Amino acid sequence: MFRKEKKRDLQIGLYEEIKKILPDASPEMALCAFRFNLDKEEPEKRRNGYLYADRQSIRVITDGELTLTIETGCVSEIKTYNGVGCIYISYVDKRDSTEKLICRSDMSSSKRIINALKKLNHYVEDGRVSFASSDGEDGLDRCEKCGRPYPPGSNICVHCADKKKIVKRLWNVASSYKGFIISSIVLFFVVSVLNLAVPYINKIIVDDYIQSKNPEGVSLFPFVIAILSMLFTQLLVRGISMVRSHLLINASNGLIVDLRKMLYDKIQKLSIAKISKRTSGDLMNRVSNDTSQVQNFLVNYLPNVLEQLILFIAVGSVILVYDYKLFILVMIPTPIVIVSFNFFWKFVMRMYRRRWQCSAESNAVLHDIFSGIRVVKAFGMEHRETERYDKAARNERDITEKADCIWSILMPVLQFLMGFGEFIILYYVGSSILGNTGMTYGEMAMFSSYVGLIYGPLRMIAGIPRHMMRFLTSTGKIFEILDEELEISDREESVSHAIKGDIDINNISFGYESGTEVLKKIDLHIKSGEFIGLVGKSGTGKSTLINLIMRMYDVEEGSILVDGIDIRDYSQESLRSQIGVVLQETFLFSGSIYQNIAYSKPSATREEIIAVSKLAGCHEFIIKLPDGYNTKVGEKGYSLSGGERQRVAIARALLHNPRILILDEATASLDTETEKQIQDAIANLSANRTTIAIAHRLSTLRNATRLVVLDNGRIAEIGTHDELLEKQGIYYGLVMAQREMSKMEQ
Amino acid sequence: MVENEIMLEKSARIHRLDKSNADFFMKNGFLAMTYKDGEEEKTLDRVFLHRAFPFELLWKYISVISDDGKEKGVIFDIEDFSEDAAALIKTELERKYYSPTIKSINSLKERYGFSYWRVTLTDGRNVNFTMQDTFRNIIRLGDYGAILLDVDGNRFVIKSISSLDRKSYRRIELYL
Repeated sequence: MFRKEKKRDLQIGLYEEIKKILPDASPEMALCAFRFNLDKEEPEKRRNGYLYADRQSIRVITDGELTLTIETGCVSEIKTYNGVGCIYISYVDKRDSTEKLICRSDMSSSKRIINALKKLNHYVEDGRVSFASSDGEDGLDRCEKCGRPYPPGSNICVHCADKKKIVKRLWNVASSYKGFIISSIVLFFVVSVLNLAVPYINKIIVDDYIQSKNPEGVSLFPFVIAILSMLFTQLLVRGISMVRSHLLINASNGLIVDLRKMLYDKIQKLSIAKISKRTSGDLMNRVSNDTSQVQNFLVNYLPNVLEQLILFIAVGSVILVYDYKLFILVMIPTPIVIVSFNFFWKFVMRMYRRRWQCSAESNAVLHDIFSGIRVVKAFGMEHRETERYDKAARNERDITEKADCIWSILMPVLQFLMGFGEFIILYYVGSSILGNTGMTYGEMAMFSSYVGLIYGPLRMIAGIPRHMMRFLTSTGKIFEILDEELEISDREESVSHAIKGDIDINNISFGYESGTEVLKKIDLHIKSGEFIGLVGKSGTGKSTLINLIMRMYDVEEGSILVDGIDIRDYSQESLRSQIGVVLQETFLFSGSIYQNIAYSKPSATREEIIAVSKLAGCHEFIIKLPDGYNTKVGEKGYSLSGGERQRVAIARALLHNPRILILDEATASLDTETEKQIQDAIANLSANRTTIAIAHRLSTLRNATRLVVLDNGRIAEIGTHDELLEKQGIYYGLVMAQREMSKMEQ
Repeated sequence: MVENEIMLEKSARIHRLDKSNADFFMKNGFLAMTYKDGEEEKTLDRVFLHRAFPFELLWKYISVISDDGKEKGVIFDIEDFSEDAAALIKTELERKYYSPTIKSINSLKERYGFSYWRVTLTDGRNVNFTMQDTFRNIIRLGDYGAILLDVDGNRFVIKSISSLDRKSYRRIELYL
């Protein structure tokens, strides 16, 4: 709601400025409107500029004056070009096909500009008006409240997130552990009260027995009872603490497992588009580190703080009830302790962060040297590398020395400050005793203990904001993933049916980022059993097309039908279980070769595994390994060569026996002879199944029924090998270039 | 050594551009070029300049690329051109590599992996920007300078860190 309002405000602000110069400008009529801030010619000169476009014209306002008007009808394309730290916006003039510069801006608003240009580009390219926003303000990637950017791949502002809401949600997730948590909180109170009782019993022992005014009247039995009650209280404190810890550990471990499972489930369901917005490191951090952070806070920090806080309040109240003057005296050093501790903490953290950075750097140098040790030795650079490491290690030593030195000076000062209250007590109570004001030795001992108890919690209290922040940030990040909307989800009435293999790609357009279309209006109809070869230069959209067929992403425009049914109507599981894929970069899981091949069909028999391995041409090398099919691969396992991995992956896909087989540069890392073997295997298998293969090595596609040549995101040519050669177009050029290459190699 | 360089240049087929075989002019707001292709003189309405060593050599080793993405040659030094052409190349490079210079750092706060900077630039403007993974996004320029890359892709230059005022220096010191 707030986002919408904010967007509207920004939009109104933008058009108000434009309307001052162009009274006819309006959001309803606009095809595009945005701000820019650099002069198009003078490198450093700042400008306050606006671009406004409607169906009649594109107008540019610079520093309050209309400086450029272009007829929209004369524009065939709007282009953006990223400089370094700036972006250029230009147009191609339909009349003479020349490109002309319109304006330039720094990168702060580049995303908004690209978004805003989308609608205008749609209009100039084919005269249609899309429903995309014309002002690009919906490309906001900053917090609406504070204007700070969101963390990458996130839309939660860590500064403005509602902290109470986060805690409330965690409490809801923890509903099944509420009993544990509430019981442990009650036990905290009990422990605090008991802790408070110990100095009081101590006072009774001193005043009534050890320093009794009437020593003759003291009998041994109540004295022993008093000692035993103190012992019993101590035992009770330990016992209850144990039960409380047990309860809390149970609750927090259960909660963390639940959170991790929820996170993992959610990540599995997210689309590739959403997942690839975040690095795998970031996702792993959320599943393991952020949940650990929450657990650490709940198990270690929160109980301690709670206990200390209760103790602080209880001790404070007792002292206040006994003697308000004493209370004031005791409280005098409190703000000093809190402020100095916070200051000290910030200072030391800064030092230790520098040390951490230096240590990370020297580790990076070591890692570099060890992983590249062959290169180091081959170039005789041992001496240089030793020096490099020596420099990094010396840096680390200097900073560590400095940090430790400061720590060792400041810590005793702080501890002295924290113990300062005890001197006040000693002075106040001592002078009371000397002045015979009725204060006893027992009371003095009791107050000394209480003061010891009251300053301990202060250290903890000083750290509450810091720990709370860390905890809330981690919890916020966990919920951010859990709240992520599923882009690709099964429809309620999704179908699961045995696929025959007809694929109809109807006029689809798609781009990973707003403003840049990777595929433009692709129209392709593949009959069941056809072998389609996708050809084209790198970056022309071949892999993107395959990703769309597998529904890793949803198309923006147009549709993809399999057997006449839109792939968005299939359940994802049903669709993908009938598509087999071999990618250029094969991924083998940690486990045996057998497990890796059987991954696509866990129920496969040993015979099936061997049969597909023979077909894929990997049986020969697997059988020669000492552990055969049980050889461990993946991390910490036997390292297979690129070609070997590829063949294992092909075996995995063949075992899957899919109706649609997708090969994305599957044989790129194989030698020509092995490739031929696999080609034959694929040729046998691709009979009666739809196969789509991408290959740069064109010989791989010799069995293809049709070749589709992609160029700049569009289908440039379609036909058989002979037809395309005859056409002498892009495919012909590619074939000729490869022939030249192989001649040169010979 | 020099012989080796010449050999490398020849074997890598680096086409060196200078005033004898190329000239620059502006067209439609873009840098355009005329060059000799054998005996024939050709014109490119738009060329793109790319610094090969943008952190070290600002006016040397500049690759000239045509609209179709092919390298037309390398400017070894802008001084190999006439004064006018060199000025055009220089302006074009400054226009493309837009990186304002920081005069002082007025405030620097760090929270949750982001650092929030408030700086004054040499043109007198006060600018706020945000950096993420700050250590990695401050690139040292030789022994003296640094480039700061913000989350939007803007670049800010500090020409000489030691000539920053004391407060500014103390603020950035942690990241150096």
